[in-house]
Amino acid sequence: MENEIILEVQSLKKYFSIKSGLFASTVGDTVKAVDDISFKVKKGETVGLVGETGSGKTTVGRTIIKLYEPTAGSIIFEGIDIAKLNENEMKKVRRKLQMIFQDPYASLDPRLTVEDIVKEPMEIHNLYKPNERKERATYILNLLGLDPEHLTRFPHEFSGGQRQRIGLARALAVEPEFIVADEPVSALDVSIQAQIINTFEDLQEKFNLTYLFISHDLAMVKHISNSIIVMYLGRIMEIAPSGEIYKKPLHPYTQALISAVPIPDPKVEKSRERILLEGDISSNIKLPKGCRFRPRCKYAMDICKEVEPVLEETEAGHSVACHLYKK
Amino acid sequence: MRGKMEPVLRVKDLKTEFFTYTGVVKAVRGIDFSVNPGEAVGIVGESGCGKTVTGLSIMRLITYPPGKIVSGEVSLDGTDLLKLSESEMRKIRGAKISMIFQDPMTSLNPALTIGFQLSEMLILHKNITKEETKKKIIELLSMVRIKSPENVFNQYPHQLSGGMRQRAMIALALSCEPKIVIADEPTTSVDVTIQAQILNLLQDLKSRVNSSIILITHNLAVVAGLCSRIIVMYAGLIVEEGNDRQVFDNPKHPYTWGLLRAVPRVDEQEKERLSTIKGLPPDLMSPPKGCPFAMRCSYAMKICFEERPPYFNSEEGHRTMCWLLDKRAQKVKRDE
Amino acid sequence: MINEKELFEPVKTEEIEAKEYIRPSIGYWADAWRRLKKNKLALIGLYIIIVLIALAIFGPMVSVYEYDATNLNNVYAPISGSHWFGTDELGRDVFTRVLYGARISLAVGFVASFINLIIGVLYGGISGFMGGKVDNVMMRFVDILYGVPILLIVILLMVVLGPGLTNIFIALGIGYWVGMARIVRGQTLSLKEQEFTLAAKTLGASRTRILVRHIIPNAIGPIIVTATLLIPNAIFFEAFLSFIGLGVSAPVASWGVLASDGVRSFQSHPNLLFFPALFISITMLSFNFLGDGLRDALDPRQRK
Repeated sequence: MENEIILEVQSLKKYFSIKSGLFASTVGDTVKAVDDISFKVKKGETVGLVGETGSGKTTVGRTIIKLYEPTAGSIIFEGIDIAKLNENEMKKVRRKLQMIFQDPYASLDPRLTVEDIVKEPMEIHNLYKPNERKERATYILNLLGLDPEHLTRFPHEFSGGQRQRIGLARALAVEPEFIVADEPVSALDVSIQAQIINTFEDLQEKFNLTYLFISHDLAMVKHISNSIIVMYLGRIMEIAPSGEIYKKPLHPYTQALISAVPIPDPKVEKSRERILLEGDISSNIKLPKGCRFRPRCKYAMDICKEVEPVLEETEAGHSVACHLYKK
Repeated sequence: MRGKMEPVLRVKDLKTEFFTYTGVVKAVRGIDFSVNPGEAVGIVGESGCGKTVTGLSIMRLITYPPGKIVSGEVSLDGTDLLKLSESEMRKIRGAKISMIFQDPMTSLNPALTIGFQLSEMLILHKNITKEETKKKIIELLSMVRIKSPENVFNQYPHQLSGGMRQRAMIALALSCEPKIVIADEPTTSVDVTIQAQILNLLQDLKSRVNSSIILITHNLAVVAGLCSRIIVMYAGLIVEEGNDRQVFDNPKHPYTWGLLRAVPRVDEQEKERLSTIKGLPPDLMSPPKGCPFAMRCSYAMKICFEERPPYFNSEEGHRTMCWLLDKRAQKVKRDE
Repeated sequence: MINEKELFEPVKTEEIEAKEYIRPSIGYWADAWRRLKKNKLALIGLYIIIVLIALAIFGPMVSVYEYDATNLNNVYAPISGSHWFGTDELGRDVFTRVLYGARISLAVGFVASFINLIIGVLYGGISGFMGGKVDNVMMRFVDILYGVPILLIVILLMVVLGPGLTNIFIALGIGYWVGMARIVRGQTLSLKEQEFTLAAKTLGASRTRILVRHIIPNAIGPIIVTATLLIPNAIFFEAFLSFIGLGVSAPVASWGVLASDGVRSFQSHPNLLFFPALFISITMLSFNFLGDGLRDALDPRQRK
């Protein structure tokens, strides 16, 4: 059975302009952080978004949740194009669309107690009667394996993993349907990462949540996601079901990315052929003409210098933006 | 072959503590290990397990207050570094033993060119002319695969990308061909593609320069390709040590089991639920008297809470600090 | 006594798992106070300030002399049991006048600092929170004000407004808020980008809620420190204005006026200059010690 589509992003662009001058009126270079991307997310599924620093993955997450105003394109959430909504109209949607941040230390207000933090979303959206809110907060904390005794404590008294749970509790307080998780475990120790990832999976099952899981850790993304979007310099290079991404990576960038992920097994690791990418990710101010991955691609052809490849489906659920796969 | 070789570095009963206003944090609680010439040893553990403090203690970079090496011996080629004066130690740092830090931006001086920072080290430790120094540095920079080393020589750290800076740091660490390079999370703040470049580079340099490497990391996968011996640290102690095959294929400590199965593998075929290690590491201000991992261990026995386990040798060079290896304990199977 | 066999019995760690170690709950203010208490200089400063305030409030009430009561039979009396600091050229008790001066000087310090606090927090807060064009225009204005020496602005204002306590408040209030505004703006700008503020935004919190609930409480530390350090500045400035004759007018006396009067007979009766100067110095030092102590105590980055 096909699940319904909960989120559809169409030709989304987010450009940042670098301003200078006396009253910051001179518009300088434009950073094309997200440059025309489209994808769909099905309800109850997890879509992983991977890429290196500067690939624009965080900007995608923040634009979808309207922390940034999109430059162009539409974000259709449950049938409504939220890209065009103003802040007031957006408030209703925000209940269903939540975000988990990367840094469990910075994402909780240090001056509020856990109770204040978890109750705040209920206050904003006027959910539950004021005297029921504490009960609800206690219920959510229990659900996340936190002791309700912790309600009176401050964020700095908790470990990183516990703080990330508090962040999850805050997001769950409004009963969301879609959660954008931006590198939710990369600041945590490996043993704690697994705890949080499992919690994510349990909650998804319990509340039929949909996740957009953003991370640079391909192994983790592959583990949690149903399908994976690979981004490079603001563009989508490949979209594939997570089962296929390791077995059959199509884009040379995806291949390099997978080969760069170390495997905790000396036998495999020492015998692996590694594709080393030359150089670093280039800047997204002065993009090369043609394919933006060309300067680092060992298969680059003449056409790659001239024409930017578009994302095309090669088989069901698997798309790639690369001239090598042009029919 | 092993045993005949004289280790280049030998750490004996090293204890480092931090005297804070709330109490004494026992960061490293008595560890022994040695490093052979040309060998790459990985020290693996989560944050707060004492792995970085171990590296800094070997370099004698623990500052007092609050930190202090309270006991132990760190001998490099037979000289106990902990007994040297600060000025004698300065001659050794950089020349015989050097360190690569996690964040290349903060460990390079932003106000000086890369060339100047590298020459400083060479001039300090080697008696060579300016001309020779420059030639040598260009050579070093190209050895760490920096393209157009002549340009980079005159550039400032902020003009380089993260990967380039980390490579410049490696060049700096290798400039005097030290006996030992301690790399503390050298790939944690860079992207996977850059991480692959750097690991590849370290691998290559190990065979060329014949320096020993101590690679400190929280990521077991990172040591898998590079290191031939692995030390697993937990709560300031070495809980398991062995060669790569022993630790990865036949780990003995439940903590190592947990670490190995807590991270998803990119080559996993079927999606499996990650296994977690419940709870949190102990507070090192008042570490438990028994095994530090007992509280989180699913195989814990009464004795684990009473007495800290000794090391049990299961094979040549493979030791584990765990009561499960005692012959009186019931045999448990590591669940795969 | 457990026998050896039992020692190797497996135990269920779930059952014995103690509560995860968590430090005792300490609120922000309790924590700050705990850290302030460890700073001896700041504590001494705080105690001296409390004593000074008490003296300023109650001193003149219990003193047997009036601050403006002249006694021409007893001019330039030396330090004695009845006149602790001696008397001045009109036979007024210097001790009483210094205590009374404390009222004026401390009032100037607190009121001027308070006015600056209000203007600075509002101006800086709005500028930082609105950002963009508004911020740019508001900050360029601040830059211009910053470029003109504050001394000049205040002196000009005093010349226009004329001497007097109210006018001193106005002049100091207008002249000194710039620094506060810059600090509050900087705080607001950085707090606005913090993930917890973004989180509040994704929850649907209104701008006012974000400002009142998240930004201001987190900026309160630096605001308090700046305000505390403004007090000695204002006191000193008032003393300076009074010294050059632009301050309060006789017979009302601030420490600056007293010092200014004392200079005239400095060579014959140094006590007339010494005591007001001493009080000014002690006050300045105390507030500066306290301000520095507060800076360390209120800095959230120090919370571990």
